[in-house]
Amino acid sequence: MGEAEQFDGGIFDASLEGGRAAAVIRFRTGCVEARVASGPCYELPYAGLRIELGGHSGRVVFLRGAAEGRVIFSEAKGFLEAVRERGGMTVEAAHEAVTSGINRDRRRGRGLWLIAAVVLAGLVWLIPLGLRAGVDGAVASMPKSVDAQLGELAAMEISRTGPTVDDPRAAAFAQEVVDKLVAVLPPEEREYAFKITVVENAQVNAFALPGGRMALLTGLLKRADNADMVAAVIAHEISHVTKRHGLRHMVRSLGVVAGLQLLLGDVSGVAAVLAQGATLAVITNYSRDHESEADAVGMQMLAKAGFDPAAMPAFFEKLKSLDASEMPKGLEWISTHPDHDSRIAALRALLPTAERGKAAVLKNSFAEAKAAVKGD
Amino acid sequence: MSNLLVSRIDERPDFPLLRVALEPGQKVFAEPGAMVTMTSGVKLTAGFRGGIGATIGRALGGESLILSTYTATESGEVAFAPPSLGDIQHVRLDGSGTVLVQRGAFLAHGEGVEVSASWQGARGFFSGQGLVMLKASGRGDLFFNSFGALIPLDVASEGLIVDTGFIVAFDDTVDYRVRSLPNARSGLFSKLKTFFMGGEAIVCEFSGRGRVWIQARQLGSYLSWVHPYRPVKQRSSDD
Repeated sequence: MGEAEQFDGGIFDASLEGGRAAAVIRFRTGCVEARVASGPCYELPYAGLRIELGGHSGRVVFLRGAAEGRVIFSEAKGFLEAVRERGGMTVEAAHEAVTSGINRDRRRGRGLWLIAAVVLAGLVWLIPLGLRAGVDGAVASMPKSVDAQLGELAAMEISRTGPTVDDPRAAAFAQEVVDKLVAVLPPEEREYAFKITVVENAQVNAFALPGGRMALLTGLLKRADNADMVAAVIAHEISHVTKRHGLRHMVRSLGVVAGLQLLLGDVSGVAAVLAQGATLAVITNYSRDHESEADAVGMQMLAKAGFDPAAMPAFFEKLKSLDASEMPKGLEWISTHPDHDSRIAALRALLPTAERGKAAVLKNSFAEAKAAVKGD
Repeated sequence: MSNLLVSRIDERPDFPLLRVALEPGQKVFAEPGAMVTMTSGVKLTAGFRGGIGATIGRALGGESLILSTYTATESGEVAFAPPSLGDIQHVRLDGSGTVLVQRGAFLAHGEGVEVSASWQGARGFFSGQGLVMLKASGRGDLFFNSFGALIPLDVASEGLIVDTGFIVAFDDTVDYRVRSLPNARSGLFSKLKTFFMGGEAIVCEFSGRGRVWIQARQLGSYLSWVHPYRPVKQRSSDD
């Protein structure tokens, strides 16, 4: 770097038209020189030179003389270093003052960035929580008729699963289990129209629709060891209904507007979505926290109604042990309910808290119900 | 042929009209809808000038995505008018710095000038300047407009305080920070109270060296003043 080094910048001086002009800046021995396009050259001696940083970007270097008025400035890269290099000892103190200011601002800047990052991370964490609370609040404020509306829309899902089993031994048994369980619910939860249909299907499965309609698949009836196991699954499904998981899930996936449409009796939007074959995915593909809640609530209900609460973890154990190759569709129920090992463990941990009521006596026989459905 | 435009601003200061004389091949760029008259030798084309960045920048800066280009095929003249009453300012950029223009105040520019976005962040929000201002750089002519009369003020070493909402444009050799007036009562609550209930408690303080263009009226205050005189539409009782 020699005498030839120059920077684009500008100068403020009272003698200039408008008080300022663009200039080419060079560092001479003893002074900084700014030459404007119209020809004249303006100088500022290094002695008494004040250096300031500013401008909108904060990166414009202003060189002020001892006397007020003339200011040479540039935002060009390397300008500040050139001032230090060419000005030598004379500008050292002024240069030092500016660079320490820059470093202080940089440290402060880093601090602010850190705070901003922490705040942002907090928001990213809080927003989903807030949305979830919003959904739950919206669902809680909707009347129970909305659940029934949604259940009606999805009712065809039951007939789509398989033909209804009319044999009174199976149908009456299933409905009696439902009635026994519903009898121990708090009064406001009993308002749903709980009705179960036994459907001929080899899958080991049962499901509930919002509003209280349920389906029990014959595969499950066949595989269960006793009435308590059937009751355990039904108690779990009833809990989905009373905790309104179907509506919650639909509002989460389709938006609150869909819920409001149901509330106002305008079912066209929701019906259109359901008609596209998304029925079960939209309504019964519950999240893991919904499943856990249904397990816990279902176990209390099961015990209170006089069934054996241990039947719930026992049923999951049985499903787990069913050989997948022997029964390819056997694990269906468990596959939509993931992470069954931890589920079984969680249910076992809940067992001591389950207060068992007077042992349930069923008028309909489990063995006869099981015999009534076709085997595989 | 020069990049620089020959221009005249007529009918100042209330209802000004910018008239730009164009030599063959010369261009001027303006907000769509700003054109009032043009001679038939001037060709109008519209497009997203300056690439995606500049286009989005303009949109964030309260301007149109599209910029109209007026090219002279023979000597002619184009006249432009800003949307509101007020004045027009002509600034010739010499390359020594850039000019920051308030949201919505941009009217037109000549060749050699680039208009892009400049992020203002929190201080832009609190000062009412908007999160993005427009930044005009290069060498050439820039025209912007105000609401009310335009007054150029020079910022010297003693600094300058301007109430928010009156700033139209400023040189990038000056900088502003948002602060509360020193004689406003201290304490967070009273600061917030003054901020939300009006008054001059929040101001922009300029420092550095350069020019600030302010406007003699503020649109928001003017609209509040007009509001009580607006006729109220009566809702008929049968709907």
